[in-house]
Amino acid sequence: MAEVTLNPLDPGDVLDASSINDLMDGIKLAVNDVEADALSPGALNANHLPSLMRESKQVVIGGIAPATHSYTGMAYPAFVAISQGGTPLDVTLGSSYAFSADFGGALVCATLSVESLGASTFFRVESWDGAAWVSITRSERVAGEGSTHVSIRTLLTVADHAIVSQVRVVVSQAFAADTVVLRDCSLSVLILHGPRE
Amino acid sequence: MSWRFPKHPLLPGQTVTPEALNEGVRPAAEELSGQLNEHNWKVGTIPNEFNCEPDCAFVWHSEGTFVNTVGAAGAIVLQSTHDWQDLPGLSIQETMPSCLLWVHVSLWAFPTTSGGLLVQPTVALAIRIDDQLIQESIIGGGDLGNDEEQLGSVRIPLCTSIVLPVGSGEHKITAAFRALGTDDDTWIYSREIIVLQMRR
Repeated sequence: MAEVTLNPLDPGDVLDASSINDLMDGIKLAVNDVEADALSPGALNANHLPSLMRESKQVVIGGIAPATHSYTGMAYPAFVAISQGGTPLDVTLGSSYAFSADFGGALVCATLSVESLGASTFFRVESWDGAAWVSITRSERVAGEGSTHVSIRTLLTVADHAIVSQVRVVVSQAFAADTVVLRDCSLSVLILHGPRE
Repeated sequence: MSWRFPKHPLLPGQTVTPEALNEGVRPAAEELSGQLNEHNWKVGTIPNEFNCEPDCAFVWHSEGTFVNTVGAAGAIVLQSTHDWQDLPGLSIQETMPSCLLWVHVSLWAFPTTSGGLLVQPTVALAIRIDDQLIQESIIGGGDLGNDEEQLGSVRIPLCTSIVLPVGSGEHKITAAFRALGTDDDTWIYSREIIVLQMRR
């Protein structure tokens, strides 16, 4: 930006077009020299920008008795979907989002409150790829006696599959005869405009 | 640059003085910073997210591993110690602008001996940024003198997160773990670190 030059009028100066123009010129030249991309921090805010959070959705199921939910008869690596009273712990997004240069990850947050577990209880996040449920194996978390809750955080990416539209949590255990009893469980998915680097 | 109404507007019949004219112009000159601020842009200037650069506001980073077998490749084995130990493979190092970082670490730990016997150590998990342990991110006891009860179980799923501002430059975000109360090892299996740069 050109340097701002202020040439004030002094007492006794002739007041005419020339002296008034001289007063304004130093400012006019500086203003006209400001570049269109010279943004101060915070110049663009919610009034100017669209929301860059494409979608955020959460499902909560279960609770203390009588809203607990139990699972038995499955043995690792066979998993069953978590649900309570006919409501699955399953987030179905409003759209299918294809991973791309400006959409690099979908954050999945699952928090499960435990009433009782077997010797080893396995939890995983699964994502629907349009044709089948894909197991996100790195999201597997194992809990034993003494655990009161299990939290999973995982970022779905194009390395998992090409799109994200639906996410759920599944459970398994080391011994089919054991029983898992869960209380309140929540599952959230966050879709932001942004790449993964 | 904000717009200000002239301090002494010229009115019909008013005597124009140099002082009034100077006072009318000086605030505008003082406002000039060489940069455009929120007052210089129309509401809804950018109507669609697809008009924005992909990394204008959010950038993701993540590393994760699936391991579910004792001794399998990718499993981390830690000895009991009073010191915090960084977890290999749970590290993000990037150059970034001044922003807020939202960091998540999620894993499960399995304490055992090489003979397969199960023990119950006390463990703690935390996040380090630029080698500084973030006290608010500690899950489990932070001070061994005050916090006798830490997390202890046979199989231990753990998760912690933190939001922290960082300055522009290169930053290293890692997960740190501590296991106490056993002479044997603690194994770290499936795990993931997620970092979100929030630039606006």
